[in-house]
Amino acid sequence: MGKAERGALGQSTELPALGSGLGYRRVHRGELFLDRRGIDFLEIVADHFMSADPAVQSELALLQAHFPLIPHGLDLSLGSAEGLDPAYLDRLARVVEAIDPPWWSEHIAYTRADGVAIGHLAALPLTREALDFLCANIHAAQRRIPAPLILENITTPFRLPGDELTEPQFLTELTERTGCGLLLDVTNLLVNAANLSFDPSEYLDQLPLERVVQTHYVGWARRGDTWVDDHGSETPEPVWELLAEVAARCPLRGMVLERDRNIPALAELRPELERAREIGRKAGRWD
Amino acid sequence: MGLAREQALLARLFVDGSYRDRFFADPATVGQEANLPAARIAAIGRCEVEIRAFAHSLIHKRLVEIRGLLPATERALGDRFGPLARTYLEQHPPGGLDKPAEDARGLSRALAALPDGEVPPWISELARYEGSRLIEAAGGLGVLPRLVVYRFPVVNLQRSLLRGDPLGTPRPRLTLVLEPAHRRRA
Ligand SMILES: [Fe+2]
Repeated sequence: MGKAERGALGQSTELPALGSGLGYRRVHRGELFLDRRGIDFLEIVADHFMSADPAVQSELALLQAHFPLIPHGLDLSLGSAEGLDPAYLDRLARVVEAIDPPWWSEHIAYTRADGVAIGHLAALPLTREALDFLCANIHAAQRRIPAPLILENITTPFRLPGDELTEPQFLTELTERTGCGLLLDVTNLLVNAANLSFDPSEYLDQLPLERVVQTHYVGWARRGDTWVDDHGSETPEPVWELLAEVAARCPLRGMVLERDRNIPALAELRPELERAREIGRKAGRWD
Repeated sequence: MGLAREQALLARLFVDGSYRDRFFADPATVGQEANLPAARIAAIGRCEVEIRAFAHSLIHKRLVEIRGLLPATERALGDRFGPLARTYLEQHPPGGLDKPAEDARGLSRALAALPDGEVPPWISELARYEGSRLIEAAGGLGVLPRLVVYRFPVVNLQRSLLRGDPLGTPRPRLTLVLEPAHRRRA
């Protein structure tokens, strides 16, 4: 897949190294502008900026004036066998166009089917059929949005029987067929490894590591005997260790702290951002 | 070619509590309308525990999000907020661009519409007021604000609850509130 292909990645090392980024949450707005040091870029939830409300659009313009921005979509439902929602794709495309980012990201998941919105990311079966639908939808998204797309691994507490591929095989073929990069959520990887009983290092060994452009990291929670990516606590040691391994082995261009619950003051998150930057720096991913 | 039908069935099982109960009581019969191979329906039927757990985690996630959007209503209802919100969410799949806000608005309308006696009337009015303050994500503000009448002093009640002041039993008092007109979603 050549670099000129719309929405495809080319060589990920040709993308700018953004460094240590933060998932933007509105509660941090004041603090962010009081002290921008230590935040190399922001990942924004594209869905939160689709409104034509002038207040929302001026917020976007303000963020854009001060930080590199990476749009992260939640509800494109790339895995929907019924195809993409053209109106949603259009709204998403307008947000991405307004930002003109080095890349944007979405999930390997479906969020709606037959008029029902699930309100969350649901896992695809690891089958050839699912892969075909996913690739067709990604090609449609790439035709509409020329910026390179990177795809994120999600968590799932269970898998239905009938898988034909392992997840790394699925991701390898997916990236080859679409030219997309990967957004490796290391917390999600460890949560799945714990819930579905597999070895995260073996998973990593089988992944197309040269395709990994960005990571997500954050804390997790345990509910009953299930691990949950609740995005609600400080990043734990096993996640830092895996992040360091990923930084050493993949041509990372950015890492994003993805805190969504129990959001503390920004000052409390800064040490995590600093630690991530240091991991990337030590691995030679940025200065 | 069954993936679209399988996703439609799973999505419904994830969000529709009463359909979920009917399906797992008799997957072979209820699943017929999904138009999937019988073996696939049976395989999905055997995942009852996992699918129910996933469905509950979705409700839990939505519940956590609306708690933050209707904080005064939650405090006013105390222990009853959780069960009432859960019942509402089970019956109303997520929707709209800003799903948490949509859930919160829907719940506040549902609470306000409960017959007198189900919840104290001042809480119904407070829920209606708090929900009305959440602006449509994809709409933006309309041009003309409108005057809305409440039977209780909802603005003061909300403020007191959020400060944690003791309330006693609130007395009715007609209250006029100027609300931004919410433009319908495009
Ligand atoms: Fe993530």
